[in-house]
Amino acid sequence: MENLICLEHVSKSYSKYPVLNDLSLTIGKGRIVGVLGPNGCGKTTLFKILAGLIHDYSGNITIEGHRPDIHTKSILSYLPEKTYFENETSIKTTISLFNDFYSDFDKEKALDMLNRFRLTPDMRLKSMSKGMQEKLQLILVMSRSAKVYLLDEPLSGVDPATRDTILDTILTNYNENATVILSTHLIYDVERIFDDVILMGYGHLIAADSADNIRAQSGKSLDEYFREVFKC
Amino acid sequence: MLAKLMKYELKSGYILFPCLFLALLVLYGFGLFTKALNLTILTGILTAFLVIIGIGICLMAFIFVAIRYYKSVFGAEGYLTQTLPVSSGKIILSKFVLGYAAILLSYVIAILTIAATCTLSGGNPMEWFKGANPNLTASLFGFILFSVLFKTAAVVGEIFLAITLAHTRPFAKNSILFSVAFFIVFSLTVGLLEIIGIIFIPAGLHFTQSSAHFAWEGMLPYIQKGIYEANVQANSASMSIKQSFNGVTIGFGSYVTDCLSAIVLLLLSKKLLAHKTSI
Repeated sequence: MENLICLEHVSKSYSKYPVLNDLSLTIGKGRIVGVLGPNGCGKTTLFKILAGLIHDYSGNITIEGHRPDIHTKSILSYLPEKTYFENETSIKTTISLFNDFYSDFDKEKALDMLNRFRLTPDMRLKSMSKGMQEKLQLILVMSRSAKVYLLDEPLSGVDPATRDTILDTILTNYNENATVILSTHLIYDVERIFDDVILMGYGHLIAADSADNIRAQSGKSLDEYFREVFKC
Repeated sequence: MLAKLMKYELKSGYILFPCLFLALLVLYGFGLFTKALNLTILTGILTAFLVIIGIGICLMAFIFVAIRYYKSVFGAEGYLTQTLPVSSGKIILSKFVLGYAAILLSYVIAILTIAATCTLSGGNPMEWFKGANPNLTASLFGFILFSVLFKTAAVVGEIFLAITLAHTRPFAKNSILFSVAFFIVFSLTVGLLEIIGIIFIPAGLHFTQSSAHFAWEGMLPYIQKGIYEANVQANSASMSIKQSFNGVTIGFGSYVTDCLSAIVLLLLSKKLLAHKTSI
């Protein structure tokens, strides 16, 4: 398996509180990877570092051989936990923005997905609920033919039916040679799709292996294993 | 990519300025109408409104540029801005060009507003220049215009670096407070450099009673002369010094220091944004 992402001794702390502590791991090409861990364990920080939003970390990170830079940003499709468009922006503008900046953006695919989610290009973000805005961002991110999809908690805060739709959107739209890295703590709903799992504790790595190996070694489902590891 | 960045930056809020300009035009038109009907009190109120808005618009433009930069780079919008496949230099430059243009536009609007209030209160703005020496007036206006252009560039640089530096590791917890503090520090530093430039850089505009021309001198000789004359006067109180006005040179040095400051501040902002900040 060819490595796409390499992390070597990555550490990051906020004030004196370490969020990532000497994290080293590799992620291969064409895998669906679940980054699992309780709230505050450093999943979002790890994603932000990979996306090029956090620069003050120690250690070494490479994506396709590059430290986070313009090249990695052009091959990485990032869905943050936040909605980032201005309220006055229309869906049409967001699509034209992605089309202008990302050469791998498929406008037709985006319009098709909008239609399926019952969103129209003329709608403005201020007239949309938070859930609808999240769906729009997911559509934009998944309409790219990226090499890495970095999806930070795409399932949190949505009802089970929408959760299924979102998962379906991710699985039917990602570039099959790409790597999908998805963070969640709703493991039961998604564990069936993972090839690999990265289990994070508070700042450190608990496990990084294939989902099948973790199931075989623990004799449990990923959800049961997670609950056992993080039992209070 | 720079043009695209500017296009989307322009779409996100800069429409405010043409709207304000239109609102002022409508207000002015209404003022002319009330003046024609001799509604003195209403015209007075409208004139006061125009003055307040005219002055406020310049201040608002600076605040707007700071807020736009903060929101689009370090706010929620920053999650998009900073993950676009463009360099930090282009991000900074796109915001600088539009912010700078918006502030210059606000100056123009403010000047037009002052002229408009003058006509509403029965004056004629062209009479301000009646009897003035055209050569001197043009030189003075040119001097002020370039001072404003360079100074504004430096101030935008100060705003950008202050906000960017406040989002580096040691200051990120109180980023707004540190942004303000850094802006004050940078403003004072650049102001000090301007004074040094005006005094010591040997290039300036020499004004006499009837003309103005370029001169290879700063303001240092005049300061030295002033100190010397003050000393002579103090030492021989009875002696009267006959002074004849041979002109004075106002140094161009602040152009150089403002221009260099703007470049350095923007380059530092770019460097920090690329390597040291976090959101």
